[in-house]
Amino acid sequence: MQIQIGKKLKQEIEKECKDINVRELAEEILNLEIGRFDSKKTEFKKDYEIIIEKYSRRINNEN
Amino acid sequence: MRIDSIELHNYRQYKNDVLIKLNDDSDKNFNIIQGVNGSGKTNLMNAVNWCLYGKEEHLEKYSGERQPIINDSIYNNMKNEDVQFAKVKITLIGDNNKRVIFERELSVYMKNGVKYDEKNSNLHGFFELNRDMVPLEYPNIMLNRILPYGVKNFFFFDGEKLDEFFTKENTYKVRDAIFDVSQLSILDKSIEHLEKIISEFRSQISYNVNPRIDEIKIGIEQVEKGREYSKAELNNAQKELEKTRVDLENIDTELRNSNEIVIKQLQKLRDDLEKEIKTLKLVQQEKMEQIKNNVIIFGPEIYSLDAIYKTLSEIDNKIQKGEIPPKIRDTFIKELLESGRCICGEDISKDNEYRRMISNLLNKVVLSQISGELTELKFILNDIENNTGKFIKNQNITRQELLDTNRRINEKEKQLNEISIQLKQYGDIDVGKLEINRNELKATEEKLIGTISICQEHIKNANSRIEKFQRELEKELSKDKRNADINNKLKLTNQVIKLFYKVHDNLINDIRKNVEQKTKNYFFYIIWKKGVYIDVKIDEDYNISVINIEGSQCLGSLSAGERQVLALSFLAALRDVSGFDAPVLIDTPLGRISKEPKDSIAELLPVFLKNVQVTMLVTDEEYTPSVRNKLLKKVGTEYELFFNEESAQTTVIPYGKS
Repeated sequence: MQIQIGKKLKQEIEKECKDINVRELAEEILNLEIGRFDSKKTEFKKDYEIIIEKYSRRINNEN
Repeated sequence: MRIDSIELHNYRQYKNDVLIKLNDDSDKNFNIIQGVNGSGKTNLMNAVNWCLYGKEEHLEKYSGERQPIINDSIYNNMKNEDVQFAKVKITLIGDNNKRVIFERELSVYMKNGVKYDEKNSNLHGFFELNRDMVPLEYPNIMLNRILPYGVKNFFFFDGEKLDEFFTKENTYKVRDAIFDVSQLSILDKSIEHLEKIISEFRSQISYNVNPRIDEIKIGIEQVEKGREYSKAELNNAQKELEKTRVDLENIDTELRNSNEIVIKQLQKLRDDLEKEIKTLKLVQQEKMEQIKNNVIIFGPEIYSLDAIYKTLSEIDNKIQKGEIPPKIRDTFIKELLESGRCICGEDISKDNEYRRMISNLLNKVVLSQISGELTELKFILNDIENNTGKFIKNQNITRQELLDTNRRINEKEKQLNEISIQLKQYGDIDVGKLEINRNELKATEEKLIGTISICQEHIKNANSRIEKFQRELEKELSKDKRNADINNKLKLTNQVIKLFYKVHDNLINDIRKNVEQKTKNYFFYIIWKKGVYIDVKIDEDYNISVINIEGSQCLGSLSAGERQVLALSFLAALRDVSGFDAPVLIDTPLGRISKEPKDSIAELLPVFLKNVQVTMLVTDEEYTPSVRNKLLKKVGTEYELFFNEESAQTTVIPYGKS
């Protein structure tokens, strides 16, 4: 079964970004955007902030 | 992913329960559903689209008012307190043989003689887990994994409308298709939202910590405002350009269909000239690119030519004078002086006349150390001189070709101008008005193209200024612990934005080129006229062109069958590039094609559409005995649709059982 974001898009992200946190955050944002588009939600700030917060914490903990 | 079955209940003319079971065997990957016009083929396509995406996109074939989704006879014969519903259920099977079911229904109930239609229908989904079907909390997300809405048009499509991709006013359809397949719109939306989040984060920075931070924030806000303005202007200009092009095409169509033969001919001539100019402009661009690249490659040699000539002449002088190669090598003289005895036997160990004579010889052969290098250099320089000479010759030829192309473009533009004057001065007032209007639209088109490139440049500059500010802001914020948290988020978000911009730029050209290459491969594989066409191109404006053996653009002169092959090739390329493994459903795939090419396409379709489940909704005129014969080895199931006019109901029966 196909991953949510297109194969080519995922490949490009992997090619251009070696940092796993940035890469995973990027993919999560795109998947969120697809889901958002799908559910016709207009509010995005909260979801975006939560995801960015999650990765920011993860990076802090790693450091 | 294959379709296992389509179940319909009171959906339009599919009254009561109708089950269509499809074959999902990879060796027999074709399913045929045949029916005469009006038997319900298109509504079957609508049923699939409605079930999965809540949209019936193929309704325009109906005249009059939109029909209700619930079967007419059921709807019209409802009694008080009755509840009726229409439902479509699609069962899919994945490569792991697990089922996924999607269904959608719409109900109506009647009370006190009034029917209350449910306005919206929701998608429901189930997936197989340990042989049970478990409801999906978010069926749309699962559907997006299988086939997102933006990409589904390359899997479920109407064969009769494929041609629309290639009309002049529909260039944007090709562009949109490529954007959809690469999910660029999702990327753009994410960038837009991330940029808003960044400003949100910036507003959370503690004030009065460092005056420079406040200055940077103001700077960024100002540039962002300018960027927003340019983005809005760009968006308007793009929409306006699309509209202008549609208006232009409408005028051209009107002139093309004029009752006056002269007008028709002039417009035809203009169409041909515009096509030729377009091809010539591609050649012009290619030549300019060639000249530019050659200058970059050979530039250093050209700039060094004077020095090369001078060096070669110096070396030649030395050779003529006999200085190189030297008659005696310096190492030999040095050895003699060190040994203290000349080859003639004289003692040269002390300072005497002989030793001085030999020492003087040493001064005369100073070039001996580098004589080898000089001889080698002479060969290299001669080589460079020759290559540069060839390059200059080739460059002059390319320049001449460019001048010729420019001249031909000018001539053709002059002819276009003359046509326009003739049309304006033509006796018919309406034609004159149309032509004046057309000229105004052409001027608008040119102006809009200019506005678009200026806006794009502004946005690019603004992005680079914002990036610079951001770097400085991060540096300043890192000096203060109170802003550490917000700085981390800013950094992270900026990295993602930068990544998205980079991916966007990579994808936009990569995918276009990839689709171009794959379309070309498919087209040449299927097309029956071998050796007539040499290239298929998708230019930066997403115009598709087919180049014939004479090097001319010939899209306009392709037959209906050839255009259908081109469209099928384009869709197959998009499907490949999208990477989605979904079934293909085609309504009237061979409708526009005459007998002979129809057989050729039928023969090649299984090769062309292998490893994918294909369901074709065909008329009896398409599914001729000869077409059936060509496809039969690959056909898993065959059905016929029968529409009973009296009951206004379609029944589905196995093929040949009627």
